[in-house]
Amino acid sequence: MSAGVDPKRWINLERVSIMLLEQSDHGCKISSQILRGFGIRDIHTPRTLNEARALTCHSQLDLIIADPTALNGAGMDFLRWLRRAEGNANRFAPLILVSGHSTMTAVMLSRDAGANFFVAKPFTPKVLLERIMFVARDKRPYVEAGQYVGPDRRWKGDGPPDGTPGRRGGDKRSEIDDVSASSEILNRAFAR
Amino acid sequence: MTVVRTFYPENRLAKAVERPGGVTVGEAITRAAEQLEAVRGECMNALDEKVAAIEALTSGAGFSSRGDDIRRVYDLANEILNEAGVFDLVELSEAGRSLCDLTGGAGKDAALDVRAIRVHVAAMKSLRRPEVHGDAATRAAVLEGLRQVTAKVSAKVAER
Repeated sequence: MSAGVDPKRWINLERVSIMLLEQSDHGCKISSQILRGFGIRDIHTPRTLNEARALTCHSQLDLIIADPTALNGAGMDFLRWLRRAEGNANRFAPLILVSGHSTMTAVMLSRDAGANFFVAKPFTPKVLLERIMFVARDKRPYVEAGQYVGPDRRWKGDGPPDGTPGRRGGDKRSEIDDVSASSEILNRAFAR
Repeated sequence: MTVVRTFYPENRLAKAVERPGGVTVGEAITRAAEQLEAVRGECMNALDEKVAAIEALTSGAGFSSRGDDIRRVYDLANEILNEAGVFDLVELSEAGRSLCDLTGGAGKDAALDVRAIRVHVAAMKSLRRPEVHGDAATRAAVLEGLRQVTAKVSAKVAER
């Protein structure tokens, strides 16, 4: 990826705590193996909606990786619940959605559930690590607006269209900032 | 009027990643690949079991191309798509995708011809045979055949 990760860069994921929601036992095993290879030791893999909810109430999670079809199809509902669970310590945890057979509608639903990133399966260890690093470096603010809670869905930091004043005080005025690289990444993720 | 709140929650992941120690990105990717190899055999067996499960499901007289049965076929095909691709079984993964395309919208308007699913099962089984697995041209031909089947069936469904 263009804004990618230097293979010589040092990273330390040993103390990262992850919730991994996968569709199948072997899907869970595959993703867990990859994450262990990255050095992550604390991997939680709840298999039911109740287990997943309880985990968010009793543990501090640094990252959630979830297939929307996990938890017997309730993965997306769980994620929507979490983003709106006031008082939950993990409410704003970074969230990467991973999904195999996906329509564009499903991708948009994922985004609207408050995901930070969408990754198409099957993925390689390299792709997953790049996405984890991207989410770690993501500087977008979070937004709570009506039904939506999650990272700002505006990926381009190039401000309002030319000749218009913009609608928000925080709109950039001219130059494209480095978030535009993220837009490119997202477009490629959608295109897969 | 909707009230919009913008804020910057603490990103614990960002802090964790920057801690001293750890490994290089290149080493992390290498180790992850090694970890995957450790479960390759088990996952290959699981893939064969999923193909067999679809075959068992669709060969029974009671199979319905609507409702729970077709949903189960779709889920298994999706798992094959996801898991085969991780181990570079590209054509098997794509065969799973083709079966997902075929069954993903089934059952809503019209029943699906179960023979189209059986063709996918036969193709998946052949892709796992060593003589086919080792021959890229044959694998591509198998996949192209599946694409034609899916396109033909989808066109028929659309006509109804």
